[in-house]
Amino acid sequence: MKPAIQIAMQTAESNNRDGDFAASNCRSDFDRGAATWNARSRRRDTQPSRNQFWLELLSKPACSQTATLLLCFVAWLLCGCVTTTTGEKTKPDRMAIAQLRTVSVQVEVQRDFTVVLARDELNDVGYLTGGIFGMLAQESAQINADAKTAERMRPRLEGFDSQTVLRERLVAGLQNTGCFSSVTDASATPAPTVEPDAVLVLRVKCWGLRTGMGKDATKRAQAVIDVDVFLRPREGGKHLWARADYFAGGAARPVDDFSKTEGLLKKEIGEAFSRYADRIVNEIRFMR
Amino acid sequence: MKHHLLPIATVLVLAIAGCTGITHKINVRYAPVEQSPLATLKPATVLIQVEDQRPAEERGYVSKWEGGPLDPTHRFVTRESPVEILRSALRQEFQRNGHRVVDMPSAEVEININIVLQRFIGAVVGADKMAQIQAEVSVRKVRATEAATPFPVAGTYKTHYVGIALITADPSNELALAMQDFVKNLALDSRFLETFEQR
Repeated sequence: MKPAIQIAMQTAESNNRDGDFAASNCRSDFDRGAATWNARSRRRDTQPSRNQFWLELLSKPACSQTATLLLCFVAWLLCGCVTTTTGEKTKPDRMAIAQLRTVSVQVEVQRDFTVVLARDELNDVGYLTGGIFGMLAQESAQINADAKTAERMRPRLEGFDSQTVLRERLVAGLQNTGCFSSVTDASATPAPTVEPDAVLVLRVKCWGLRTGMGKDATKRAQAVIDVDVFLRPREGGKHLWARADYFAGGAARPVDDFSKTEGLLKKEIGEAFSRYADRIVNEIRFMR
Repeated sequence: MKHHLLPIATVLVLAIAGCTGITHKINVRYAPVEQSPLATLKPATVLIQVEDQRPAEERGYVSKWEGGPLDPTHRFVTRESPVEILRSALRQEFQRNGHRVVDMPSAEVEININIVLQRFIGAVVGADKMAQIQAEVSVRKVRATEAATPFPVAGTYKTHYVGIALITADPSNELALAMQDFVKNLALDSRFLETFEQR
């Protein structure tokens, strides 16, 4: 008996055990064929059997892995359509902002000093030599190289507190505008006695050195700050204003300059932070 | 022997392609800022001068992209020079907000704006496409006796792609939006506003 027919017979027999099909009486090839057909058409009628078929198929290791990989690939392709951009995310609610009397400043820094240079290099050597695994290995090596560069430079930032620099500049800037009767630091201890009408939140996603762009883009770097900023009313709810920024205002220099020249890294990053804080202060001043 | 010809030819073609460059001409169109601080200032007659002091290696293109060692280098150049693009954007922004812009020094000029362009560049790095415009700006009242102190102004824009497969290297959109950011930052700068307000 051919294997396909054998399976059909087994299915028919199992159905027969349930008492609704007499496949055990089939003897000739014709009968066997008819038994197969009937067994299949009955399976089509019953949905649970079909689901069971897929479940059984997917539970087989090889199929499961293939399906997972396929799903991941489709998801990755779909994700290709997703982009995030810098710029204004919520237009300022000028009426509400004009009524604010007291503001508090909150700065959150999500990551420590970061260098992103090696991993920005467009290079398909890893993929060409080892396919996806080669690509992943190359990426891992690039991330390690960046981490080592950051580690090498970290002593140059001794005493530099990104959170404090930004917060102090923002508080001082907003106070100087004269737009608010009180500007407080949300992280101050003891907590400010004045309850703010709104909180200006700066969420620094990443700060450090990144491509200087142009010639030797990954060998020259500049100080950058990647931030989400929003003005949140005291009672919560919709933001009064929100934007995302990638601020790179510094000069592009060879990467080694930052580690070799005393004080350069701190100065460049400090200036970028101050200029960014000024920019936010100016935006808020203009809204009022 | 014939069997070896195809791979050799393929390698040669790829190597030649890797050494060649493709130049793309792009248009960078400035879209004015929706609500500009310039509209709040007393109307003035302004002379805008833009000087190109970009590094020599960045003057030949506004963005360069190479997918890999065997891929050709794509260079993006603007149809108009970056200096002209920036001057035209500023002229448009000032005029739109009620100011008069002149191209030559004259007796009518009240404010001189001198812009030294230091960078006008776009790049695709990793999963990001970004653009940056950087300049030293000095704003001076014509009647002022003291020299103006230049201050830096920058405009940046970044698009982050979650999947890198769909990135096109053309930086025109990013440059246009970086220019919008630049113009807005200039108009918001307190040193710029003070000169205007103290007339």
